[in-house]
Amino acid sequence: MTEHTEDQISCEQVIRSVWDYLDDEIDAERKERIRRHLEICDHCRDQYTFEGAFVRSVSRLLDADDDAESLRARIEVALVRHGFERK
Amino acid sequence: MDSADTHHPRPTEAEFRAEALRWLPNVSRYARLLTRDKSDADDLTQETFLRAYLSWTTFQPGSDCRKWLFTICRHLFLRSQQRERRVVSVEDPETDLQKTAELYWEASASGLENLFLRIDLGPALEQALHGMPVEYREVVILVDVEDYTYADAAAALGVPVGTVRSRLFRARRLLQESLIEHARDIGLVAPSVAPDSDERILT
Repeated sequence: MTEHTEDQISCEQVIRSVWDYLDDEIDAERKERIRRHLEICDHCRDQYTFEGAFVRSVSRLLDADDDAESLRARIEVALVRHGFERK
Repeated sequence: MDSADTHHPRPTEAEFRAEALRWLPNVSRYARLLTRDKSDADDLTQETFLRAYLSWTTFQPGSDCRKWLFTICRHLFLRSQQRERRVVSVEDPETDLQKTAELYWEASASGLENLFLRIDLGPALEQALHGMPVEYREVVILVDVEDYTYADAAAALGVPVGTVRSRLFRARRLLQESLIEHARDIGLVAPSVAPDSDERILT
């Protein structure tokens, strides 16, 4: 854990904000205080790195494109029955 | 300008392709995570686009068509379930915070800091997601994949922002638990308990 002065925030506060920080859901002032804390605190920085890798992995793995062409064709056939004109 | 003057009851092919069908992969993925079944998801996706086509007058030109499609998809899913809204178990942010820290320490102690880069977690992730209540699944897909802000997700789901936040935190914790367990199952890390001395190989 890192010693902190009055204008800094504690490790607990930093860890409490881990997801808000990674999701960019906190105000600029708090974000900057966390950023400064991470510069000097190995423990918190390691956990942020870990959690950041996790979130990116979830996004990347779930974002993988499926082969949607057969579904697209099926949907267009259904749409045509309701007036949709295909090229 | 009155949109009725410029907006036809049915979109042209070009308009529907440009505005709606371009989001087919996103809607399909969302449907799959809602239904947990590819066949059901395909049916739901098709119904979503049909409903969008037939209800085109309710789409506001210039607005976010992807979000509109997601709303239709979700409503159709909820209706198909004919379910009353379930109350998610009481969520305790303090417990989630503590568990999150514990999970990190556990992973760190097991040499799993690079876990998410080292193995193909796709199947394990899908399995873990499918094992979660729909309230958690949908917030993960909206925020982590579709890049909704917490406020946008809250609007889409009809819940307060704080609920989105707590569900997302809980969902991520549950996913991490599952993935770390998966890593152990496939032998990525040594057992956490040290072997007996007579089993050690001394060199």
